[in-house]
Amino acid sequence: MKLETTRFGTLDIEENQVIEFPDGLYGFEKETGFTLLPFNPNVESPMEWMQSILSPHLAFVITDPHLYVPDYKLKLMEEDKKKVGLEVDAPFLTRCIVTIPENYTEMTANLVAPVVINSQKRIGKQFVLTGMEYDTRHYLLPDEMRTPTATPH
Amino acid sequence: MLVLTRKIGESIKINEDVKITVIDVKGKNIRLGIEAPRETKIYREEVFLRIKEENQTAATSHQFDPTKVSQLVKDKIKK
Repeated sequence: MKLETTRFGTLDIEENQVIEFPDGLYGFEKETGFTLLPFNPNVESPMEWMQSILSPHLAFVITDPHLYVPDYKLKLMEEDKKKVGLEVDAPFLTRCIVTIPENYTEMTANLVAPVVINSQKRIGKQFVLTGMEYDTRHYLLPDEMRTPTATPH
Repeated sequence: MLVLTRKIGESIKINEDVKITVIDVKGKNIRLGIEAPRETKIYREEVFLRIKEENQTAATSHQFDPTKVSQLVKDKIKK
């Protein structure tokens, strides 16, 4: 299928590359389909794009939170698993949405509301963690790698 | 909206298994105790607002060079 996107032009993707998000994302409840695209076609990257199927302009940067917070814990309850069509103990992807401000060294990931993807059945959902241990704006880079005032380009 | 008046120490029950008790009232702050089955999800409402806002901000990311961003993150992960 042809997919119009603002950032990447017109793409040709397979139907089986579409991940269904029956509930959309918080604040984007009507966005019920996304596809994952390489962050940078030429270089391997810890990040990926999550491009909307319905809105050409809408794409999120996502990344695996375990790369930054190795003991990141996402406990899915049985009823949560059912929402993404997961059988007990089936593997799933956990990704967090990244916000990249003008000074990109200050990019943050939303650890409170991870996106869970059942890659086998291609169903996704954004969950909200209970508890207070994680931040919606977790800096991906440590202090010494951030340049608070300058805007490097 | 159903509105009920409760005194300190009094509770309301929702279904058979959720009980919300007024523990204390100090000025404008009310402390609530909630007893519910383990799988019940309980959130402060502001959390959802913050997440909507954060999704909104993430969706309007600035222009950036993916190669530089990737490199920085890879450097960090290697450490």
